[in-house]
Amino acid sequence: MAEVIAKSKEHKYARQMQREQDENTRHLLDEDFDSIRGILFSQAPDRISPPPIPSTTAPSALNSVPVQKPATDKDYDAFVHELAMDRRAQPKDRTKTEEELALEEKEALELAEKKRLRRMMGMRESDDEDEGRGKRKRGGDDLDDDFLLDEDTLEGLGAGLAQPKDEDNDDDEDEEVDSGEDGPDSESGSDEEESEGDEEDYGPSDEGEEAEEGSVEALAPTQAKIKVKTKRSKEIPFTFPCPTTHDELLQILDGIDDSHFPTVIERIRKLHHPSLHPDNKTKLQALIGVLLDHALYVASGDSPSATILDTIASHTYSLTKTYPIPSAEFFVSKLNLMQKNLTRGLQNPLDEASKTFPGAPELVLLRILGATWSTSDMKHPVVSPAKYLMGAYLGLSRVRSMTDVVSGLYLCSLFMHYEQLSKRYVPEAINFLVQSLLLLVPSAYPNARKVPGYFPLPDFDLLESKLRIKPKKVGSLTPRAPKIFELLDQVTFSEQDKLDLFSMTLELLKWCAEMYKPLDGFIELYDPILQILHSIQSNCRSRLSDTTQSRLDAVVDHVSRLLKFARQARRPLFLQDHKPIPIATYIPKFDAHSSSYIRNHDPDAERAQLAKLKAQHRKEKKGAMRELRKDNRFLAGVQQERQEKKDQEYKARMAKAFAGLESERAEQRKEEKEKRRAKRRAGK
Amino acid sequence: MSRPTKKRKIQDSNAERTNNIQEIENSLQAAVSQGSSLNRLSDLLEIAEKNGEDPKVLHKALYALYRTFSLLISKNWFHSPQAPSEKAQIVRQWLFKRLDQYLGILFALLDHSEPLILDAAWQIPLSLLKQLSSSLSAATGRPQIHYRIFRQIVPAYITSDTALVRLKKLTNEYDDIRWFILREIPSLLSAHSSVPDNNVTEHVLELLENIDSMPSQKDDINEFYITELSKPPAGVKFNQKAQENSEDSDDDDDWSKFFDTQPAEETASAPERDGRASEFSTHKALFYVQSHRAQFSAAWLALMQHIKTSPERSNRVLSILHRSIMPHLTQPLQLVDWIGACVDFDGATALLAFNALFVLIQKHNLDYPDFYTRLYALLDANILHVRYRARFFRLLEVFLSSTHLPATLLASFLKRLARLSLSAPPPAIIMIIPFTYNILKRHPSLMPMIHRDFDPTIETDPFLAEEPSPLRTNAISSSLWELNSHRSHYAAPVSTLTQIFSEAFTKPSYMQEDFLDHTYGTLYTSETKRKITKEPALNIVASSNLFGPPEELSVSTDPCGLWA
Repeated sequence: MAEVIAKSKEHKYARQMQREQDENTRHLLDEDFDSIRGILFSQAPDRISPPPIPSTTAPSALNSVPVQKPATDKDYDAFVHELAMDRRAQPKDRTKTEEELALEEKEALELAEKKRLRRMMGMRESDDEDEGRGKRKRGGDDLDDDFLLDEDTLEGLGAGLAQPKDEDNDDDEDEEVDSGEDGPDSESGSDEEESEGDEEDYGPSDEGEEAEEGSVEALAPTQAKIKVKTKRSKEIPFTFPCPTTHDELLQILDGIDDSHFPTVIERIRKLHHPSLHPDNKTKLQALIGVLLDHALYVASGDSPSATILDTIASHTYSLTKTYPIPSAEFFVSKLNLMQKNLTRGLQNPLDEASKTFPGAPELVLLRILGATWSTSDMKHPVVSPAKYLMGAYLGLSRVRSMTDVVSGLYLCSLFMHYEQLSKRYVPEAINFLVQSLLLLVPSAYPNARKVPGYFPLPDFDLLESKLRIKPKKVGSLTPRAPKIFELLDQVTFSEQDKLDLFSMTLELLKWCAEMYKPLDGFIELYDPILQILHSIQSNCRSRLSDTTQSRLDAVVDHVSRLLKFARQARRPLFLQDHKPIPIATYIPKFDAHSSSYIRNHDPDAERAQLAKLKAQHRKEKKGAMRELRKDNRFLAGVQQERQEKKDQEYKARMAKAFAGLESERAEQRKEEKEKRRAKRRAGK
Repeated sequence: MSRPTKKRKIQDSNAERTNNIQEIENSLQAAVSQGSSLNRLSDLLEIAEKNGEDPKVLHKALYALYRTFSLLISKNWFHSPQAPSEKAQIVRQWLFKRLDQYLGILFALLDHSEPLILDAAWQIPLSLLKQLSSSLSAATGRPQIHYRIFRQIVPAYITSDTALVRLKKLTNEYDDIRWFILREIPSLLSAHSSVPDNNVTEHVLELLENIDSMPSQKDDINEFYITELSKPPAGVKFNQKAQENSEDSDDDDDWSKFFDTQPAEETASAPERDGRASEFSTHKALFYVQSHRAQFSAAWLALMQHIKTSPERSNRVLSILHRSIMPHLTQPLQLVDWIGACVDFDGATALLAFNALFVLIQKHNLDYPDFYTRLYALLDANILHVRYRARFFRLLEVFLSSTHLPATLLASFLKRLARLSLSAPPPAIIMIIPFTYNILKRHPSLMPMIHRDFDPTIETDPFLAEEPSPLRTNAISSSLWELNSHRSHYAAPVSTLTQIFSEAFTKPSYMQEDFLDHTYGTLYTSETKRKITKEPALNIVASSNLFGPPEELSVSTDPCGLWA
């Protein structure tokens, strides 16, 4: 007994010791944890302690979490809960390997390309996104009222100059009056002039107030102030305010060397990262506009620095990526200004002073625009207007000087750049290239009417040989890449410059040929061009330097080869290859067999399934029963047959027996008869 | 002190001269009433002639003369019912000479800077004309205009810029003045045709353009400047009735026959006439609409001979031709020579001429065999780039709308338009596409132009682009490749619109009118005016080195890399 008691005591003591030890350990742990916790939450100040100063030191942790043992477990529980809810407590994806990263990048690019292709085709960006929003399909019950209003084909065409059509129907007569007022100047065909009276935007009423602000100077910020280039320190400050206007940017850049410009912009963007302050978002959005302004400002200067423009372009791109809509609005507002300038310039397209062909700032803007936005889209809120504007520049402006040719050629190359993926056809560019070709080099054509093809060459007859290369002087020169900004500033052009531009025209024509060779009408388009090139070739033979001559020959060869292939591949149009269209029927569907069409179509799929199963079950049951009945009937038949046979046998046996008996009976009766007869005889 | 004296001197001399004029006038008036010598008239005329630089004196002198002449007219010095004696005849001749001299002075003042003098120069001759006409009518017993004066007035007024403005108003106001002026125009034009560089043609054109009061029925002839003419002659009353009846049935035939010959004779003989020969018939003619029309036609036809070589003037006429000229011509077909000449011009003039020609063909049975060949020639490189292209398409639609036109002809037009579209601006292509669709829809025999099986035996395009006749271009055996190229046009509306050729032709037709009024400007604004809601797409990768020197790599992908 005593032993038992001793053991029990020992156990109890051991338990007590254990508990004490545990308690100690836990206490220690608690203590440790507190310090850990201090570290943990110091890194995530927004979780517990909102003050903005990062609290790496213990005191803040001590403040938030008491070092003493938590008075109650409630605190502890709350804390554990908090810990469990912490974002960092969640398991994370494992770090990806390089291959995986590469693959992901590739997939992202492919997806982007797929989306781009869809946009290029003019389809919606993704189907699931827009599904259900589209037009309802025409149903049988629809009335025919909307028959002619097939808006799909007119999509995006706009209303045109749609004047209110409340005049009476004597259109012809009204037309006649119009023309009387229009006057006879038929040659200077300019659309803008025509639209001028009709459209509010171009109306003469705005003219006055627009006159000051609407000029090109407004596009490129004013350069009026004298640049203070006194000292340019090598040191640049580390912090900058975020400029909200272009003037502020100029103040910041004052005294800073151009070479530091990329650093400055970099720093501005870092200092105003959107995660640092809620206001930074708007600041950075404004920065896009400021940067664009600066690009225009730089471009309108004497010799624009390519680095600065490139820096601006790349920053514009990345900022646009983050804020596409504000950026798009900036771009469109700039385009609007350009459009207004053009409209004004086109009132007098032949006047030397009017601004029709774009200058350096406009071209730089279009260049940045093309590098930023997806130019291959069929419809794009920024690129589409830009293209129309460029089309108007090329199509409506009149060439007056060499500068115009430079500007127009650059526009053509911009257009080629825009369409490099989508390969869309730009008639204006081809027209311009042909015209500048004819303006630059002597050809065999005395006037525009004699030029093959149907190119409008409004300036060919006017300028004649004013801009022409003099073959005698260029004999020894070789073409180089033309320098766009220098040429735009120039007033007098050397023969070398003209030669450069001629070679550029040739290159662009070749480029276009390559790009447009899939067009159906490629032959019709390039055949006259080839004729023109041939005429130039024969006209300038042995008068140009070898390099130039070989370039010309190369282009001619290339184009004639492409034309040959196109001729071989030519097929007549085959556009109406549709399935025959079924004649639409408006008779309701009618089931001859069961009139329970609607009843049998339960919209609830589950119930319908159940009903179907039940029906199947019933059918099966019926079948089985029928089988059984058939069997039974057969069995019964067999049994009956057997019975009948049995009965027959029995009947036969009975008949036989009866027959035997009857014959016996007959004999017996015969005997009795004999006996009676004998008796009678005896009795007698 | 010298200045005031000088001034006074001038004033003195002024006062002296005005007094002098007053005195002469008084003596003349006395002479008229007493029948004594009128020689002082020459003095007065001399004063008027010599004081051109002093408006006050001049004004005074002019009106003094006017009053004197008025008095002379009212006293029957110029015309009297009874035959004049020999002496009176001499006096009359002398007076007419003075009158001519007076008018000459007045006409020379027509462009004077002083408005009062101007008024005088304008009003006095007309007023004298009125008085002389009255006097002449009274003298002869027949209402008539004083033709002698009138023939002096008209050329003077027409050659003067200021008077022309008033003359236009007068012409529209009074039926008789218009009639006489119209009759005067052919001779006026032929008289001035030999003198180069005169403004007569221009002014006559301006005057004729401005006539908008041509009578269309009898009741419209109701305003007369010469009051004597306003009373219809005796014969007319009856004729009027008869004519009104016939007018309803066959207005043109009946009257054109009558006036085709007679007014022509009249105008032809007008220069030689002394103004008295057939005044009665003139008076009668004034009351017939047809005679007004005949004068109008003659005037226009004469003018057209003179503007044949000027596209600018022809343009002006053509643009009002079928609205305000053709309805008043006796025989619109007479215009055909002139219109035919206009068709040979370029651009807008030719287009307008086509319009007129078409009206003639349509309404007046003109036979013009080359119409469509000429029209086909009009489709040149510029037609889609000029301002009036929408107008051209409106007309082209009318010209080609007949379902009886041969398919080969229409095919040529479609093919040519397609060719032109290759270098056309987007708004023009937007016009061409529905236009082509409508024609294809109307003429299913043209469908092979967009849908044809490949035939390996045909190697080259059978279309003959240089062939001038639209009936021989073989366009119907070709395909509209050019038009289908716009499937990949840079302007989204154009490329979507081109799709209609590859879709089923279920739409009956497109409203051409909806597609005519587009320009670069409207296309641009329709793109920019809608608000950007969806995030626009960016380039997939940022491009670097946009403005730097060309690298070998960038040259292959970016045409702008060709520039340095």
